[in-house]
Amino acid sequence: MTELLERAAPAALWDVALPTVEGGTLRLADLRGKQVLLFCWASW
Amino acid sequence: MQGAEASRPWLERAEAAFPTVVDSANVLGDLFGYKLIPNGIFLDEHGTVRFAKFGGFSVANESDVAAIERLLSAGTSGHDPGSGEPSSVARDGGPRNSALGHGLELLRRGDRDTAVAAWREALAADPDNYVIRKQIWAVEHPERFYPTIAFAWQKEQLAREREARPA
Repeated sequence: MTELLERAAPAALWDVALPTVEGGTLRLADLRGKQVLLFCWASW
Repeated sequence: MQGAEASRPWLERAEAAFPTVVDSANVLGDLFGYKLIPNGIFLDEHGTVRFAKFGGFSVANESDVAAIERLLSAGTSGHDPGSGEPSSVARDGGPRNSALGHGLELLRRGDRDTAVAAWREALAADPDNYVIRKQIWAVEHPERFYPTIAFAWQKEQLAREREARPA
């Protein structure tokens, strides 16, 4: 399902902080103001 | 195998230069309400979602790459998120699938059976949720996923499960 959209990202997205594979933390708030591609995948 | 450990071989093979996070609690799945993976979601500088493909997003897919490249090169010049047409719509993530994160936490604690039971209950209520369905498969049939993914087996397994419990 592909959508070309113009809708605000969920507000709570900017509160998300997730562990990086290197052992750090990525806060999505730090990406605000940039173009961002979220690529969500799994090893299955 | 789950989490960073599972992702590392893939990242090394892809020579990934971008930040990679592990979303064990399925935070992004809950926010965007997706039930499929892999997904591509593009946000512009204003935090507006300009593109979302839930299921089948791939850098090997020319149309996916072209769509992202168009957005990258267009930037947001002339785009006013306050008065855009159609207007920006703040939307909640939709159906929740936080059962995934709950089960992963149980799995992390070593309670595999309770984790699978929680996922099965969630899947029964939401049979189109392929994130949960595949998670069950990966735990119950790891030999079909590691070191290589048996996609033909997945198709057969889905057919078997649909036959046993038609949607």
